[in-house]
Amino acid sequence: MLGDRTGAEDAVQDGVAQAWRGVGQFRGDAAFGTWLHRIVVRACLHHLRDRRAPEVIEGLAEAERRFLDPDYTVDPAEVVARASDAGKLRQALETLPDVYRVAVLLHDVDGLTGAEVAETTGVPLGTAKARIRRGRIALLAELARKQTASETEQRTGRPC
Amino acid sequence: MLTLTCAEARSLIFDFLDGELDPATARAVEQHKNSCRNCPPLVTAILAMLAELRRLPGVLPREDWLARLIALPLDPHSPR
Repeated sequence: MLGDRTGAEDAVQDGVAQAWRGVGQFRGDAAFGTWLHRIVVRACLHHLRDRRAPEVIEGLAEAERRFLDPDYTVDPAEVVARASDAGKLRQALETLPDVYRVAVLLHDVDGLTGAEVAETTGVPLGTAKARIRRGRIALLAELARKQTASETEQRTGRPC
Repeated sequence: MLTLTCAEARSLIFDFLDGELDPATARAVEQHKNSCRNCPPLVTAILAMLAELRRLPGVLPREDWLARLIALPLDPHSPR
């Protein structure tokens, strides 16, 4: 979610500490794990706010417009080749603006429902669903994108 | 029977794959998918991407992470 191990450890530590301090506020409306998960995710979002500038979403809007174009399609083999490599899939996820990456991770990796993503991230259901949808479209476009020679070189090493 | 354009079907595709459409609309998306040239590869790629996301392994913290967490001052009354 944060894209680096140290940031993730700090955020989870903050979340657990906040949960401990606020344990008296746990009312038992949801399972304890769900309550704790929500606090930790919000601590992660707080770290992202601290770390990154406001996102420009124009690129995502463009990806969504292109996705609806009847002439647009992708090569499934290209997508499968990159998505099946966990490292490349993580790199592609890293290209998404934070709120969209978080929505996709919570929904498609952690298996939360749209309503649970909304509740966990503190946004209305419609916003959560739009973020999941736009995040998926942008991720697909990134996985389908033809890599430049320098990107391939960076990842595989320069031939001697 | 409802007939969908590519743009209409694509705007519904994620709800379709998540099983969130009513049966009649889901049938219309399915019918479009079976008769379109460009949408099936897109759907195949989306399904593969979602399957790989479900399989994405978690990242474990470093060995000393738990020890550092336990060492934190966690008194519920202590200031943040």
